[in-house]
Amino acid sequence: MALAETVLRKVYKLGLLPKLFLILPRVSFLLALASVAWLLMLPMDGQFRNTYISENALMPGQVTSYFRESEWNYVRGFRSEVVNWNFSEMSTDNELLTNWLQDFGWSVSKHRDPKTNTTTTYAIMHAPRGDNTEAMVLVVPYFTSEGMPNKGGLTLGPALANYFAKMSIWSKNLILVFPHNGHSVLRSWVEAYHTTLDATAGSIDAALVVEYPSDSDAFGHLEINYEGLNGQLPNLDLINTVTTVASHEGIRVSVQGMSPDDIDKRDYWSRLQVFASGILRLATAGISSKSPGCESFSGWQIQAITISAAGEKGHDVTQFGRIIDSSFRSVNNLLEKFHQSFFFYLLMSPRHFVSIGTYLPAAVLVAVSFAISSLYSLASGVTTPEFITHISDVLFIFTGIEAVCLLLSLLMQTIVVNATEGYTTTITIVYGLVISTLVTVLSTLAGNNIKILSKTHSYMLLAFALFFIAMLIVSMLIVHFALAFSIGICALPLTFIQPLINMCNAGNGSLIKHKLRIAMCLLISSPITVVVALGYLINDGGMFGIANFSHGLFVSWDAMQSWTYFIIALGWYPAWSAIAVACIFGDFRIESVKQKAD
Amino acid sequence: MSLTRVLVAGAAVRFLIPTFLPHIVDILAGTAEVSTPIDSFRSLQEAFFYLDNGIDLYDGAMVHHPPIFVSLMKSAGDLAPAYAYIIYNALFTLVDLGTAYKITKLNTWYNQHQSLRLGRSVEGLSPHLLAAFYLFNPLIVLTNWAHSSAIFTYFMIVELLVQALVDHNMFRGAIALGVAAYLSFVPIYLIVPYLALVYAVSKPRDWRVLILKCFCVFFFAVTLLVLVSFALTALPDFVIQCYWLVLSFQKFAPNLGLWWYIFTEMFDFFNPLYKGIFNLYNCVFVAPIALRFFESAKDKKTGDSFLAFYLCLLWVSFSKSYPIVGDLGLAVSMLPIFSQTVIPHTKFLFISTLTLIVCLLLSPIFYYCWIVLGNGNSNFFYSMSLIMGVVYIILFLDIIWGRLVMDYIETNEPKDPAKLRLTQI
Repeated sequence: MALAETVLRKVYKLGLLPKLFLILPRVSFLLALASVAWLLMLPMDGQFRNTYISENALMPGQVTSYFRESEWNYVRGFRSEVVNWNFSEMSTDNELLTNWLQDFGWSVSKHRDPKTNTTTTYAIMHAPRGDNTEAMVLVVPYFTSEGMPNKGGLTLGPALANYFAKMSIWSKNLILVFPHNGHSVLRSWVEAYHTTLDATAGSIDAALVVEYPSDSDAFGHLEINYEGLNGQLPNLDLINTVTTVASHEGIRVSVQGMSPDDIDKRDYWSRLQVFASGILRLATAGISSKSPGCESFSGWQIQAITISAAGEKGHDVTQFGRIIDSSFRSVNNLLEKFHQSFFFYLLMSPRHFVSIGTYLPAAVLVAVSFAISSLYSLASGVTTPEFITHISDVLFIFTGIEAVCLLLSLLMQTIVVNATEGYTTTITIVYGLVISTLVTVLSTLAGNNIKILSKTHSYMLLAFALFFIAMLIVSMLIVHFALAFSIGICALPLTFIQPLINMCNAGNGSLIKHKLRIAMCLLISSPITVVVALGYLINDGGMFGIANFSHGLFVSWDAMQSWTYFIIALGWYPAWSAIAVACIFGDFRIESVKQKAD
Repeated sequence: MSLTRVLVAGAAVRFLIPTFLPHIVDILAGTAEVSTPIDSFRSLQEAFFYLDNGIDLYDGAMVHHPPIFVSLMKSAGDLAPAYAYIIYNALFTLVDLGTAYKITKLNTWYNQHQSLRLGRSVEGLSPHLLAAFYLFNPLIVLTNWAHSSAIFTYFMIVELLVQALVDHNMFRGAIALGVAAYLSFVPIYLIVPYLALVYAVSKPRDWRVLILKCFCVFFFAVTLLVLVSFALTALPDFVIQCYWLVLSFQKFAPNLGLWWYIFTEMFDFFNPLYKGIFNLYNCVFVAPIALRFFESAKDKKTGDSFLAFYLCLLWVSFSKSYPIVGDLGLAVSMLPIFSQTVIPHTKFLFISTLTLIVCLLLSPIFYYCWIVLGNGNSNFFYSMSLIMGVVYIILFLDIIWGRLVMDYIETNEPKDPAKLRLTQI
């Protein structure tokens, strides 16, 4: 304490506090830069770790899988039937598949979902050695995330069902699910399994979603998708298990859609690419209709990943079956649910990762950056007594803005979800939002006469909005790092507004230039701009991508129970609006400037 | 805004929202931060069910409310069984309004008292602000919506101060303290600062009348309540379920307190040691605080027995076995009473507020990660319990230091108090 006291006394004596106040904007910006730099540093050698199996009971790849030559003829036999199917018809009622499964001794049930107007067939095999309380799920959607018929998957499904039924080693129940797709249909099945379904098989420990669109015997490499909704990830042990099993089979594994040429690259850029793509995909999980399916299991303490066969040649279809078999047998060994290893991590490659303690400081730095800008904004024009007397007004204004945003967001969501022509409605709404954003931004340039908010209110509203974003980031820090960090970085230009206003007040540079810069900051940091830009850029979007992405965002809560829409609409957008309101209607002129003007 | 308008608005928030959204009571009553097994409305409803079906209340270790409280609440609900929830909403609203109103009385008394002692006029905040601090304190509003029985304890704590200080009837104050202790045990430790306070504010200071009689009244109030409870239930089980449970940490439930984690994560054979230490910790600082800030008759400028009572309340809430956010809420709502004495000399209110906000944001999220999503563990939630402890400690130290600085200024009269910077040696 003595040291702290000495330092504090020195600070007071030298009058460092006012000097410190002047450099606050720079500190804030430097922290944001440091945050990005921190993440950029992580893919460097020595900063990340190799994955390892943490739960010893898993013992991946230690068993001999018998899903080989003897099963070959079954696979071929099923495939000769499957290739003739009309997938969109069969996905609702597939009597042939039902008969097969029943013949193998599985009990088949159906789940009718009125929301998506589909019927999902699922089959349960009660474990011969288990106490009937835990289960593993194999999901074979009729259509893959790319919208292709999942021919190989539906071949492997019954073949594995036949094979699994012959084995006596299972201590956990097995469930085979055949949903129409891995998106909302699977999601509604998972929800029904935990709420309304009669035929169930205990709590689900792990789930594998299988995609094998080709009808050929051969595939090139294995692709793993693992992002869950609302920032959730499956236990790293499950990914490690599948990766290890695959490598025992000599199959290469890619994550984040790495092309086969890049899998073997072990350089900084390929790791960075996987890392960045992981953050982006995690932040947008549940929005894209091309979601891989594993995220449908989020929120029920289920570890789920999607494995897909990619490429043309190199490995045999039974090897893919062996990966599933061997992974299931590893999970079968578990005596407790997955609890070792990591739940919060970001992958650099299938075998390299960073854990939460390593990447979390990046988001903390962004949050601190916002908090410091908020403090700067407060210190620029508000004294402590003013703060105390005006805080309730500012809270009231902000609550008003929040209420409007809540109403609007619910209204837009309801309209899009219930519209018959979802995409057209979405496009109309997006146009409306973009125009309103542009109008708002332009009026910051023009509006000089309407000063509804007093000086204290303006400064405090700006400060509170920045503080609100800081708290938004803090609250999502652990539970949804990717979204917290992305929002922090995208909304960063909002922190430049107060320094720009202060420059206007000080009379440095031309007024119109500063105003243009403020308008630019507002435009760039608007959630609407970011959503439109993301839709345009990712997944080969273009104009259609914008409609697709926005539509996904609007229906994501209804279809997938993803929080992202509400976090943007009730977290980021109100803060942005509050700053826009402060810029348009606020009076930021300090006394000396006012006197000059008069 | 006048006091009436604040009270009406506070009442509307408390009455209308749970009346139109009845689920909010159930949800909050099951939230770890807002209610614990010993004060939750859920277990009270369980108790009503037991009463209706003739089951022994304390058989099954589900009910931890004292018998008289359960009976009275049950009779309140039985006035109109179909609208029982509205009756409870109204009842809890009324109790909170009472607390808010009494806090304004305390504020007026405290400022008059300080003016007399310091020999200069001390102008505190206006009553409507004080009422607003209590009525619109989110921590209190949440506790009220959860219908936690702690609301009654808060009322009793404020009431006993009003009885002793404003109405100058320290015996009724002692009875109120007895009721508070009967309701939730922990206020029993407040008898020490209470006796010091009544002794300090009375003229003449006759320790036989004040301390001995007051203590006897308190003792017999508690004893009477316990005996009536015994007569009601015919079994001593309630003592174990309501009071021994608090002392022995029997019910492991995650809460914002500091101790639950130790019992869930440590080896069992350490438990007796922990139980001893934690209970000692809960009460051991009460007497020193009461003595240090005692208002001596000779030196009029130093000491503040009311503050001592407040600090003891803060300490007991910090170190109790089943704390809820409302405990801190009550302390925070009473803090503005000291707006002209201690608060000008505090340094860390800003920091403790920010820490509190972060803690309150993250703790339900971490609880969700641990219990619902399964990707977190108990360490997550406990970290927020620790942060809550940090908030308490910062506040506690800040107030003590603020008062000591004030004492120094009052006794030494430095030329420029604003530039004064004191250091601990």
